Amino acid sequence: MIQRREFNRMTALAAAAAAAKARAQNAPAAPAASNDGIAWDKAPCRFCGTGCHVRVGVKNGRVVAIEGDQLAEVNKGLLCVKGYHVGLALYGKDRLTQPLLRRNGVLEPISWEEAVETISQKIMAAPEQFAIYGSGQWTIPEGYAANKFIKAGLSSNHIDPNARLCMASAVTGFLSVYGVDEPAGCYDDLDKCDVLILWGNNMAEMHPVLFSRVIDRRTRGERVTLIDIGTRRTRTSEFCDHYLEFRPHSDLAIMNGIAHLLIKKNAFDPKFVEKFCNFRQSPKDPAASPTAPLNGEAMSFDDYKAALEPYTPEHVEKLSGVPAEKIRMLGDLFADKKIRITSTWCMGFNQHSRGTNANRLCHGIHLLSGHFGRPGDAPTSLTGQPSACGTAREVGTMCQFLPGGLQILNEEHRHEAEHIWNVPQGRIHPKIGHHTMLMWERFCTPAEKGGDIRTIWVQVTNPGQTLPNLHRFFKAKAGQPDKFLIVSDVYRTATTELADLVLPSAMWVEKNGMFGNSERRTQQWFRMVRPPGEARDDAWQMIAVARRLHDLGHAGMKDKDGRFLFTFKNDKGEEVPVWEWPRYYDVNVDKALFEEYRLFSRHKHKDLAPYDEYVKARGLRWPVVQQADGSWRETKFRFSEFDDPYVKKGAEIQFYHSVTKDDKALIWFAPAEKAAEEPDAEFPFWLCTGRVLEHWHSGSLTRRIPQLHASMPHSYVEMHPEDAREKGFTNGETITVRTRRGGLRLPVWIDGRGHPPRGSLFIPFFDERLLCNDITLGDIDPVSKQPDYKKCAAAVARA
Amino acid sequence: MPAAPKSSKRIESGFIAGGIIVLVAVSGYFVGLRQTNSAISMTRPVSVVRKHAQSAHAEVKDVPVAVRYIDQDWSAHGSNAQWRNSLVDFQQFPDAAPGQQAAVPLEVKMAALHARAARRAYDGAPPTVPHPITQDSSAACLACHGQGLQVKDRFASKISHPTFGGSCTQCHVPSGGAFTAADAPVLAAALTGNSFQGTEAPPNGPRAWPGAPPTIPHRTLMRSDCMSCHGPKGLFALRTPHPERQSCTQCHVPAAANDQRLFMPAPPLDAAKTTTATPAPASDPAPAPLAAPPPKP
Amino acid sequence: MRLTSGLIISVTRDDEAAGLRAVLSARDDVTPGEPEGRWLPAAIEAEDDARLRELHDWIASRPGVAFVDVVHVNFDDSTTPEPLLNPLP
Repeated sequence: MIQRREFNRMTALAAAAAAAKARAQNAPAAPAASNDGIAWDKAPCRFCGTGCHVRVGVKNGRVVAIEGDQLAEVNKGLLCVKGYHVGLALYGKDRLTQPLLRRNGVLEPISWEEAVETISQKIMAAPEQFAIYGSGQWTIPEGYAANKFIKAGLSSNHIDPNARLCMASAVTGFLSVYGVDEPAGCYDDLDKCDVLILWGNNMAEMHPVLFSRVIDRRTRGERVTLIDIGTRRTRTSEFCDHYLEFRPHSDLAIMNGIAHLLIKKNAFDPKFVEKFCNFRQSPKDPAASPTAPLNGEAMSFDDYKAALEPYTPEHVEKLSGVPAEKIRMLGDLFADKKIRITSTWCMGFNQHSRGTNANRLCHGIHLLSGHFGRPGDAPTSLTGQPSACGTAREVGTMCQFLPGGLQILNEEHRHEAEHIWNVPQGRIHPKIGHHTMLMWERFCTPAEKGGDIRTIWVQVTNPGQTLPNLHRFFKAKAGQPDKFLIVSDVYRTATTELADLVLPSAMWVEKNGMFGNSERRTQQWFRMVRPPGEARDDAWQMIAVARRLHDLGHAGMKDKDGRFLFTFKNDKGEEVPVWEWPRYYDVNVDKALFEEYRLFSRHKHKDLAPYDEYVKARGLRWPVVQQADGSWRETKFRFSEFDDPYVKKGAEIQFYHSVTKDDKALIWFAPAEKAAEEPDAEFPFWLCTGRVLEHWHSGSLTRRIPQLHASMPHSYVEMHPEDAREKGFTNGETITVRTRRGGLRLPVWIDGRGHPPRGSLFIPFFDERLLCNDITLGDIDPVSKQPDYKKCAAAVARA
Repeated sequence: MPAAPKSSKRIESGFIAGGIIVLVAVSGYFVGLRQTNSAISMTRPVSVVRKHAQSAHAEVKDVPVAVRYIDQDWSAHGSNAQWRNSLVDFQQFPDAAPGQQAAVPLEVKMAALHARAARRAYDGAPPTVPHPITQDSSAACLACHGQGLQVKDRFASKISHPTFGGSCTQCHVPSGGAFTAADAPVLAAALTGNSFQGTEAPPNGPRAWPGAPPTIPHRTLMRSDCMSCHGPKGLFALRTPHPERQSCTQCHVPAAANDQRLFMPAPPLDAAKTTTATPAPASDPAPAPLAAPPPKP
Repeated sequence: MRLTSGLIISVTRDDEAAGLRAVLSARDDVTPGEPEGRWLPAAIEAEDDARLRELHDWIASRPGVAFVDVVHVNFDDSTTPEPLLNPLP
């Protein structure tokens, strides 16, 4: 046996040695290649704000496969289940393929000419009563076209995106702390941090690729501590080292508790605070000036300390339910300058009736402790939509903004925009428009009772499902014949139920596009397949209506030289009538719109590169600054000298858009407050709403994808097993959830995907048949005007 | 095996001892995985919810005695119907002896590919999970799929992308629904059909000449471990006839076009891709940004 | 069952082969041969396929190793147990 084994080994070695000798004398052979006829091109994923790049496989004019893009820094070849199935979103059998007009209560097919004429007549009749309700899913050029159309063309600021429901508090948070919107850090922080704090952020389901980017570090043997601070145990909690469960709305108390400990133990960073920070609090008189609620009033460091005095760990425990020793643990972590701490949050902070304050306090504890400006040390907000940052925030499709972070209320900013748009001074209306909640409330109110919005054009979003308290803010439109709702979408939705005119849109790779993700990354793609039937680009729809208004004699559709607002030339210098659909793709309208928009981007140092740079890249993070050698360099860490070219040499950290104009950021104090509606004897439960892994937002796309639908076919209400036992509910039984706004029947899931604590309920909002927003409250944050979807009082009963 | 003891003459006993250590470590690891954090920390009580009608206060008379759980024939239920809840059946069969094995008839192979395709939207899509899963923790998946497992005639395939092993449920969702409500038939009705037609898995890779090793006909991203499908725990008709040759890609080469190594942009669908447009009114230069220091060299 | 394979290990530079040879010869289950330029022949053995693969991957992960190619495989499916090298008393 031994001999045989030895013999085997010697035989193997002899063969190997002979081969090695031969190998040493031979040249390598060329590898074989084959191609199975699929054309591949890059695009960012259509779904969330992570901004993964996918490779789209196209064969015979149809998308046939999707692959994670290995060249993409965001996802490095990996996707989530939605991303892998994103191509199927194009092929639901009930795609809208022709314009539909409601006649006698029924949506009937009409021609595009008729549709464009109908919209134009509605606008001509009362331009000031027309509003656009847009989206963080608009591409950057689409949002830019709509913004220019209404602000420069109609001299109206009644445009707001669904991002008001999603990101508005993050925006006011950044603006009031740094004087300029969007995170200083980026996803690289996730690779470098020692501690990741997830503030009400179920990353494992909502930003899965970012989550596995962190989790996979553990697989590689790295040590990273995850802390989940939430109101309900989720999939994310199961991966976390610590789970801190707090009473809804008491997150402000926790952050004040951390600041209290840093001050008390003298463990804050005095050098950082003195050099780079001032202190602020909410103004005593918010009505003093239009900017007072956003910018607040100054307070001294001593006042700040005094304000924090009551937030001892024991007091915070009483307010939040988080044990005092866990508050101390958080305080010790922030006190430790050697470790790097990244905080992420999404809807937990933002959909919060004190959302702006929640954002401010989170930035505050990072600034106070000096956990800022080094890779891995960052407070970073995540977005839920693919271009919430790109289109809603950077293009400024909100009622108070102009592109590039310019403000409607600032006269200089208006003049700058008028200059770039080449329209006469004074064209832009100096008053901010109606924000989302006001827009829909006025639309649902009869004209004689002050309802000053008559027509709304909705693009790329589904307010009939996603607005809070739908009876008040959406469904009240029914039965008001003078109100006219226009909806551009790809499928029928809860919104088209009440629409008077439905326009079929092209989506994702059926059109050219650009998105901007959560980490300031601007991404570009080309159209790869043709849209079905008569579906057309959203930007084309806007330009076609603008042209019709121009032809009808609307003066605003011309610039000061008498030219149409959307005039584009081809390579030969000839004007191309892009409002004629067959000519729309004769030139790259996206590129032309982007190059014009780019002129706005330098004002707030959000510099964008030329369009062609984005064609080559898998996205670039702004500010993208041209180097001496002509190349374009992106910026990963804003305000930090080592990476941001706009920081003065030797400054270390420079907040160059500081509210106080002294290059300092603001540390805010905000008190912990009670929620607008808390559980009581009649409605004893907290009700929280949110998303699930399989479905994206209102589910109009993902519910048409068989694999995703099969996994999560309907909505449900989660409750604690003890509560269910007391009520006598069995798993899967249909129950009724009631709030002061109405009731909803849906099945109960006990010990399911998430685990709410006793006295708490959770309902996902993706299911249009089980509309949880029929019963949500929608109390808004006073600064950001963003509604709270995460808490109201509810009761349950057997159905 | 990198962990094998060095220069010990008692090779076999060393192997046995090492094997036991590894076995204990591995099983301990999986036992740990099976317990979720909440189960370990006992924060969530395990409880059975019953209807009021079944509470102990009700007078029991002429009620048929319920069959005990242990006596019920679970084998007739669910997607794992072929499994047997008997511990003796959980022993692992030794892998087939190496060496040339009989070729699989084409129709058997096609049937296997068809079964495989039924769980995927297109070739390359993450397969859906054909059995119920725990909602809490994806790590439990690796207890069976980490190394692959055979239970009677069912095979749990080995993970094909071990470097992405953190969060399984991120990509793999149960095909039978995460949760079934009492009125599931009504609620689960699909909105509409979907006309997407994905790429199919190619049955064969081309060979340079009869007898040459076939090239890899499919893309290899997220399929870095060939043995997941082609190993002894893979789909029967797809298994390699020579598992003892440990370096698959030495003889079977993937095509560069399948592998993101050769990035060929799609041909232009529109003239617009090559024709530039300029916004007409941008006649004046852009206003200078406010207080912008010059970029660093 | 015991598996034996003959390998050619390609290193990235000629001068790395000798160092690698020293590393490999410290193991009982690897028998390296004489290097030929950038190519080092070796025989490896393990008791099953999975361990053989692990060993293969381990060699491939050594610094300086570019490729590990299999040129020879031998499997011994004799069921007779081998006597221990040093029988127990």
